Amino acid sequence: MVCSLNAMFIGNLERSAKKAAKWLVNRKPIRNIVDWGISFSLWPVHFTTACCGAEFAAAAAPKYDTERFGFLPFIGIRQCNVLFIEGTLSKKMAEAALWIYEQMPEPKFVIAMGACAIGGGIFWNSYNIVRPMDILPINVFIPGCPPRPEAVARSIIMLQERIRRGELVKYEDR
Amino acid sequence: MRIDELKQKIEGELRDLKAEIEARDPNVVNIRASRDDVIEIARRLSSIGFDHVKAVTAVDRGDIFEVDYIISSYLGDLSYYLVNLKISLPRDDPRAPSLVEIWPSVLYQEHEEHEMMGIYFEGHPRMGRKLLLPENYEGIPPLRKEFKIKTEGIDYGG
Amino acid sequence: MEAEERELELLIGPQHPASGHMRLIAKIDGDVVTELRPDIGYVHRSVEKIAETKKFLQIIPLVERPSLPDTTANNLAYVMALEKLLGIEPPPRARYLRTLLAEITRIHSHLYGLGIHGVMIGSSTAYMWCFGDREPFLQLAQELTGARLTYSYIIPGGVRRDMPKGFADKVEKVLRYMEGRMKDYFDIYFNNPVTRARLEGVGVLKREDAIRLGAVGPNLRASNVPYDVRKAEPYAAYPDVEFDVITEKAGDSFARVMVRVREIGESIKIIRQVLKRIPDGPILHENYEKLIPPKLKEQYKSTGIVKFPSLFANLKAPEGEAIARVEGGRGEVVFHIISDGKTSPYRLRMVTPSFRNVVLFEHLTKGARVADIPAIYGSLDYFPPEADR
Repeated sequence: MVCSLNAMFIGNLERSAKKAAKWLVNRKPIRNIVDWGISFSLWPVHFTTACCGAEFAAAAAPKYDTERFGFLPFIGIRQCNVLFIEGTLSKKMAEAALWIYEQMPEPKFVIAMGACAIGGGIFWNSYNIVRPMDILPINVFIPGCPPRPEAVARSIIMLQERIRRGELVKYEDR
Repeated sequence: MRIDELKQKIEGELRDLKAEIEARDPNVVNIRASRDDVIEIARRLSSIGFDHVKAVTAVDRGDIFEVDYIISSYLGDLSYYLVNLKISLPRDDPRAPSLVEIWPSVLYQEHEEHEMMGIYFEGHPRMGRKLLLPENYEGIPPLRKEFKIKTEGIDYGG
Repeated sequence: MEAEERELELLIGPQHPASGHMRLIAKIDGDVVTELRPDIGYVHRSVEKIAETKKFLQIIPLVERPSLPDTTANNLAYVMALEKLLGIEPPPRARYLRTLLAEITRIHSHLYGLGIHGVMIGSSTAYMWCFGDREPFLQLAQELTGARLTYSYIIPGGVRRDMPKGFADKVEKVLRYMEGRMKDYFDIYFNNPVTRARLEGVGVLKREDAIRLGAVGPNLRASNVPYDVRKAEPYAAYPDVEFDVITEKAGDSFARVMVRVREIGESIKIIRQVLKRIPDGPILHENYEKLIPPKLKEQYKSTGIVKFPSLFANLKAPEGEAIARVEGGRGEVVFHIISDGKTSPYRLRMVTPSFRNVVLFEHLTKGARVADIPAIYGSLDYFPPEADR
């Protein structure tokens, strides 16, 4: 008797618990806290693609310190959430970039740095390069050849503001 | 020593081989030779004191390929001079003997010119393997003149 | 166990804190490396092919980009080869300014190499200090040329900008700061027992092998071969300044690091001599100066910033070929230009020091331990985009 009452009024307990949790997490206070946490712990993968890596290394250095934004270059791919495409992407390197992108956990972001990552830059007519926006979804583009470290810091702040506005991270039914 | 003394010394050393020797001020001596004599010339230059190769340039001149070896020395007075050893290869048979036994410093440079221009260096241990191009690259060697790349029309996408 | 069962093939790939933009394929037996093959080509952008489609002056930024930490060497070697084809020589003041920029670049390029080496063997203090101390030199270069790393300062016939007022005092301040910092570096990093244990005796390059394999730069000089292009075939203002060629006898990784550190001291000496002896005069060759239209010429005379004559847009080099070599921070840069009388070169051959040093990877790691691979890699100061071009 009790079981059939359960089945009539409550239904599948697990599924409704999941729906309730998803509704709660998407509500303003918790959503804001989760977005705030993600935005201040953007860890990039330790992956240099071309010469812009020298200015990226200078951005992590003492004068333009980006670690104060919570930005720590980390080795293990499974703990990182942002991928920096620094400079030109050659065909061999594009394969490696795709493997790395697929191994990163959600939510993940991509920042394309330099003129070569936008449309090829000064090497646009080379036979060996790939345009990053053809293979990866990119969130922020940074122009420059190479971009100044202040521009790299600015791009991180832009990404953080977009995350905190709730535009980029979607909480799907899992 | 002055450049005309160096030219005479090289001429004396290569007396019995067919080689055209020319001195260009201030420090370059050009030697034009055929691919059959090049190993013997290299051996004799190495015995004078030229101990390494700085650059290997392959040029596509239409009906022939030209391979330039820029040779010099790290020690002594010879470090001021550059010897430019030029050999010509017919286009339908671009094979040349490799100088890697005499000067191991040409290992990577000959490999790169093999990949980029399609010249086969006999005796080189790595012919056929890719160095700079992707593994699945197929097609004509990129630095040949018939391989054309775009010169106009950069596409920024939508 | 059989030998094939014990041997493991390890791919130290492009995503690794100690690999840079290349892959190292190592065959290891326990902890000992039996064979290491560098897999390069991850940054191959075919500068030589693109150069055949661009005009002579457009090639200057193109050949600078591969060696980003040390762009002046590529710029200078290319322009020297072009000037040999054109048959002109820059005026004396331009030669001294070229030397000044080349030595400032050498200092911050060595600091880059030392910093990356530090982070590869685990010392993030070395990384932060070296990169932090590069900044004053980058700011000096920015005042002189307008850019942080890619200067494009040297043009055929001279240089692009004159020294601003008060520049010599700023340079002196920065040099004194760097000399004072050297003591801290030695106390914390170079005399540290951990650094010494990781670097001494590791990756020994014997003298005959260095000559036979064609190594260049501090790697060659650390094996007791006193070869430096600035003494072998002097260019720019080097005939007029006094400096020593730094060599070390041991040939191990620590010797290579010490050669770079002592070369920073020599560069400081050269910069001081250049600033004392620099002559007055024009900074652009008179053939090109007289082609600038009069209104722009007044602007050029009052600000010291060169306005290019319209000839530069269609500069044609006479038929022939030219070879030029320059000592960069990492080693010797060789440019070979073959021209057929048009506005683009027929063939441009660019041989960078990192490409000539690749063979040392295979040679030095035989019999080393796996943990020595980053120590050897960083001591060679290898920059992959420069080798792949």
